[in-house]
Amino acid sequence: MSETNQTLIQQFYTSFQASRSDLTSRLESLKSEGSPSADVLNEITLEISQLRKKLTDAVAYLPSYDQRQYESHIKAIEKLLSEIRASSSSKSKFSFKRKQPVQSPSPVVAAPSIMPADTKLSLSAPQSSGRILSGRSNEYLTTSSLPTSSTASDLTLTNLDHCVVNLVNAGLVDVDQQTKITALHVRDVSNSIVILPSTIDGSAMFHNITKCTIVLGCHQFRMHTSNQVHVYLAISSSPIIEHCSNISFASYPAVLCNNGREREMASKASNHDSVQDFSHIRPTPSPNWNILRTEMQVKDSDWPVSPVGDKIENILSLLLPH
Amino acid sequence: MGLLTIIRKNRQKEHEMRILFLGLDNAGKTTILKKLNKEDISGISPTLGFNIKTFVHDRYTLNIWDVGGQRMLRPYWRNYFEQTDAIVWVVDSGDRFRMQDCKEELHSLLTEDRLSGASLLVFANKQDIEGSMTSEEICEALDLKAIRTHQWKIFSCSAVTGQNLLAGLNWVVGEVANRLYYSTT
Repeated sequence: MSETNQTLIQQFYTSFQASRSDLTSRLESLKSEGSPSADVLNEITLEISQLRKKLTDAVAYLPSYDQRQYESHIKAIEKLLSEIRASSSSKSKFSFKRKQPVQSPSPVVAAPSIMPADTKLSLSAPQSSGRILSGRSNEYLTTSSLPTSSTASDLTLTNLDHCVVNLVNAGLVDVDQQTKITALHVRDVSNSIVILPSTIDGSAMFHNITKCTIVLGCHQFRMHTSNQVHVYLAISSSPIIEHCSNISFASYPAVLCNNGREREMASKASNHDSVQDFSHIRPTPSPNWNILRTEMQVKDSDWPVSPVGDKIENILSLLLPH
Repeated sequence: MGLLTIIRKNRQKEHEMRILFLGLDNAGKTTILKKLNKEDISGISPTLGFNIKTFVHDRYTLNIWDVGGQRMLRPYWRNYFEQTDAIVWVVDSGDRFRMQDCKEELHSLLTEDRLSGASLLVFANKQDIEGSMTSEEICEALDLKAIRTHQWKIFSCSAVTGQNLLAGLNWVVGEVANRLYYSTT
């Protein structure tokens, strides 16, 4: 029974895809030619309704997920048709009218990146009561920039641009207490250097990072939708990237460790070179990441471990990925 | 194999449950599972694909499927829906940015026909991290109260300390047992 279903599903898929691509290509060509005759349009309408009937008949054996997929394909075709109808019925010269689809996504994309702190507050879910650095640009940020009142052990960095974030504070006595981090979320950070301890006792999530250099040690590493990032990493599991490109990995620089525990975490066997790219689940090597060559790495003496004043722009242009 | 063994085996088979662990990536699904099974949790990599664990809890054999939650893997979740008795939805309580995403994934999951009737346990994980959202806040953020199609309950828990994991598992197993094995218990 299930086997026959399987064949039916397969057959349906093939025939559906054939009619779909046929209809779409005909509609596309009509669209580019402009002013199609009513007969042609009626014919296509008929074929679409036949396709819909076929789908209804197949409901009995199609999984519901597939049904929804097919349904949305048909809807797309119908939409295309109605667009062509609308443009051909109006007497004016043919032109593309797509006001809505172009405009609606842009504010959504633009808002988080352009608007700093306060708009972001209303956009995102309730803000973390934990330690958070948000909406800064052209600044050198250290542990003293973090809210001191919070006892939370999670750290959030969002909306930073042209910043140096240094949370491996040399010289502090109770380093562990000050910078104990058990979860890290980093989002919407660009053109920045982020230096974190090798001792993060939990997982790290990076989202939407562009042109940055990042240093950290953690249990799990995940990076989504990022581009052009150098990651210096101490990790015992496999790092994950997804929808990323141009990501380079290197080991945690020993020179940034301030105490025994940090050195121990940084020098342990690290898996920073066994990255898994979830956008490239194939036997071939992923084109989206590589190992950062030694000559490309930041020199030990060049790390901006102490406040740099107004030279921040020079430092960034020198050290960030080109 | 003696007769008694055969009877026992059959009896055990009757008392099998299939439980599906789902949730966004970084929620801690694999860690919870390993903790429940008393395995080492320090070197867990993000799940590429899925893990299966079978263990006995109460008088029931639990077949637990833990499927990776990375965005690329979510379309494959549907391959695991068949004959699921319970869904365990794991939430990273510290991930405020993705609560909306989490809510949408959960609610679209629950519209799936093949999951109708399955009990839903929501684990508000990572409570050991100070600054995490409470289970009440997560209940609100995920709009759990709107769920009418499934028996659900939320438990705050921590995979690292093991806090409340068993309580949650007990609830979901009891729930499924009442439904499936009402006559035999």
